[in-house]
Amino acid sequence: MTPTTDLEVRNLSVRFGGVTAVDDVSFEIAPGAIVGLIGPNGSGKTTVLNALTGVVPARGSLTVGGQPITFSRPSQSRRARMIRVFQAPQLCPELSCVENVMLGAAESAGRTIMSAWLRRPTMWRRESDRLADASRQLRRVGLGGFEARAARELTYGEQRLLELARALGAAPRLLMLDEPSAGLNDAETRALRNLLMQIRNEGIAILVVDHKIDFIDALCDRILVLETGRLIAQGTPSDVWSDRRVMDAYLGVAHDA
Amino acid sequence: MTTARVAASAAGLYRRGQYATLAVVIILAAISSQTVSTGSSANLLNLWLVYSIAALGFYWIFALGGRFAFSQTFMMALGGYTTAFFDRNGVGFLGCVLAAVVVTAVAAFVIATVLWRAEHFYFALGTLAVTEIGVVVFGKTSPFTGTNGNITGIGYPVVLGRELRTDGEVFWLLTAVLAALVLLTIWVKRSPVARDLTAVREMTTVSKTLGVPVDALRMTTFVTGSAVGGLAGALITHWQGFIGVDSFGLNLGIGLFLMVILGGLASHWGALIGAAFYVAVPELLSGLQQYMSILYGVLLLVIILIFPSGLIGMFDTLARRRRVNDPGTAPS
Repeated sequence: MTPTTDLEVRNLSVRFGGVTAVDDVSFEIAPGAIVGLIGPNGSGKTTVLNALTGVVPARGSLTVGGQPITFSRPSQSRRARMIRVFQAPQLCPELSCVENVMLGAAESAGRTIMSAWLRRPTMWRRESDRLADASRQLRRVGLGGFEARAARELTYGEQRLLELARALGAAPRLLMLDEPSAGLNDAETRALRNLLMQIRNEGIAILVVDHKIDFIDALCDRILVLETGRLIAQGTPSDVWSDRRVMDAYLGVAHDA
Repeated sequence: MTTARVAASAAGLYRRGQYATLAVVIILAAISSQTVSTGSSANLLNLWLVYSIAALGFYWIFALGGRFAFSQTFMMALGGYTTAFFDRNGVGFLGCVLAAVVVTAVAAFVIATVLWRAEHFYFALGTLAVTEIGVVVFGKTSPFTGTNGNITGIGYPVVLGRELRTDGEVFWLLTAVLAALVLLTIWVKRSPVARDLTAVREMTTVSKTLGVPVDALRMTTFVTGSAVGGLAGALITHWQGFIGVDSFGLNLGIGLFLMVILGGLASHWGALIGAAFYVAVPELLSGLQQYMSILYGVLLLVIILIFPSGLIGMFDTLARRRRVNDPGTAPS
């Protein structure tokens, strides 16, 4: 696949009433890059993902592949193939694993009520393609053989992988992950890192929010650091960790006046 | 294509046995109609069919679309008055019914557009307001609503040049309409749209980020369900030859809700079973006179408390118990 992602965020701000959750944040993500988004609790990391996904009102500008995207329009973000994996698994518990993956399928033809009534042969053909792709994505994240199992029967870690499979089935150009390593043991975290490396090798850019510094360090090309909604540093991992403001934010050391 | 069906079926994606169930229901209804071709029982059978149609429409709005609306009786009344209006202007039966369906569909589209941003209770309250306004407007005297909302002398249903004058004849028309609507519902439930509708109900915001057409599906289910309500109103009007605003009050609105909940939200068959309960049980208890309301209330409570998934859930549970007790019939 040819790398196509070129995401540019300019002056992103998100306000909830009188509270500024994200304040004038600008950054870029190159094609196939893995970018970490870190910061203390409440620094606005998830809100940035919410803004990029279009589920909260935001100000600023966003372009993907040179095309402007309007904030607060989830359908536009989806069309730009910016796909999100949530912090707590967001699945339909009663649906099977393969159905959950098919929900995010990039191919949307044959999924209308009219096609259910009038174009059933075409509908089945499309469904067959979606089913094959969904099974492939399940195998890819290590959930091969889970097709028919209801999502509610899966462990927490498996549900997170299922959500990742759903995101991959959506043919993302930017994959946004919210604390993907939370609740995983060391071996699972290593497996996840290897999987994300494979995904980036296909030209898919990744924006990852996480608290595990080792995980972020080993995974990311660049790191963005937020504190109380403001971007206080960005650069390579070594640049960021040598930044005084980052050390202060993480270690709580106050500057001398 | 076959592989997809097999795999999808294994995944529990498409419920089987639906067509066979539909055939059994039609046969049972036909047998009943032959045994009770005259009198109040035939009337009750037709009432069950009409209420089943209206409840199936409400099932589309509430169970498939995931939105609670009080407007189904408004749609029934609108369908009834529309068909009566066209009937008095010399339009044939099929034209009248088609007009009723189109007018209610347009009305539903307008209401849903006005209430676009209203969620949950606010949407329900908005539709309640529409119904209340409807009751007042339909109760006035006008060329559309007749004298104080009462119109008599509406033409009998006519199919293929034959006028259906008796309950027994109308039964076949209502059965055919209900069967067709159930079939259309089965096709939706045995399709990828059923999956998308589940996502719209259970995780609306996440569905939007996945590209599921949430707004379009909500609109389509509301408009379709409302149009089916309009169709039920038009059919009952031609069958009775009369329309009165009192027939479409809030009581019936709550009744339709009861039918769908009591029957069971998990399946479209629930609407039919709930409608049967709604029509038959008061009739069966009618000999008990003063205790009827209490008994009816207790019966409702018992079913809701013991079988929260409704009568259809009760049948499912009993069937499962039977399979467990008889391993020979258990699915391998």
